[in-house]
Amino acid sequence: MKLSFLNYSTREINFKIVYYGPGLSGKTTNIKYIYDKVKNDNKGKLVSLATETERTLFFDFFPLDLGTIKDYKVRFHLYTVPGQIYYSASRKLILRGVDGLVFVADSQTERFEANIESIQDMLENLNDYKLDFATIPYILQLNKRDLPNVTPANELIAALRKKNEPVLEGVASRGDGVVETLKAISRLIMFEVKNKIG
Amino acid sequence: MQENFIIYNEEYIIIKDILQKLKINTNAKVVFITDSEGHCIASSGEMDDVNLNSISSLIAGSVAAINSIAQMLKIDSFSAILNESSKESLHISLINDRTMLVVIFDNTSNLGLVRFRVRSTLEKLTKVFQTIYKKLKSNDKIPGGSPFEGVSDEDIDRIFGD
Repeated sequence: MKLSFLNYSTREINFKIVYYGPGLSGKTTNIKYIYDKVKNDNKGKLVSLATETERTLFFDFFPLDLGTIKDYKVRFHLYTVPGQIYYSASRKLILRGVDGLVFVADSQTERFEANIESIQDMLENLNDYKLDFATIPYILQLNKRDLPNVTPANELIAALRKKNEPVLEGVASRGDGVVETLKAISRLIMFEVKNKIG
Repeated sequence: MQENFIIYNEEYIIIKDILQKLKINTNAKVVFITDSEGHCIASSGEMDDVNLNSISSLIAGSVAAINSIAQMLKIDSFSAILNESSKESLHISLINDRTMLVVIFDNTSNLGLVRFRVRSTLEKLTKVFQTIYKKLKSNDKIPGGSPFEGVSDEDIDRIFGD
């Protein structure tokens, strides 16, 4: 397991979590919800490099201080990637040094293929960095479950689940499943650190 | 697979000292080191309302983007980037392929002085990071055990305020 950045002197440990997924699947909505929910003292500025129509251009980012665990100050760096297919180079850059991944799938039937293509793109980019997907903490979030035209969850899971990862359903626009997803990926990362390093 | 990046106490103190001297010698507002993944490793000085973690992520992203452009154009990667404005300027230089030194300065300093001081600082920092990487290679495991030894579900619930 890679450990993003640990400073013994200041007892800080930093992790990088990347939200991946096809365009308009709700990646930015996820991290904006978390940003709004967290107290000001615990977060840095939300950096959003977006186009005029609020489509993510390069990435969204904010640092989230979660307090201390075992005397270590834990900070998560939350990133989203731009989902549109032509921003592949940017997506790849953001994956560099990733500690945990959340795949935000769009549950709408017409986005079924887009989800599959995006997961494939993610796996290829990880492979280019020689990152072993099998060992990276990973969560699948099925977003937009409130919409009328969604693929049944079991069908999405059958098509998108890659390694028996935890699957959470969500409606990021109203916050459903958002914090649960972050908690789930945080738990996987911390237990991975606990088990693999020492 | 990327390696762990761990800063130990001894090197952190040396780095902080080097940064502090650079800040004084250049009259800079802030000097800091960020890694290529956007983590702020150490800093000296402060600016109002500036979160160095956010700045570090943007610097890492822009440096990675510029290097990718260089690769696509088949030209050499850069060794320094300068962003000048009428009030404050930003000077970024590579320490090695994983870390970079950032100096933010205003009109009370000047580019020539920054470049001159940065050059000698880079030599010192390169040596410190060589020591760090040597330690990381010889010490794959974290001395003293995992920082999360004994972490439980309750600990994780607690930090999320449950």
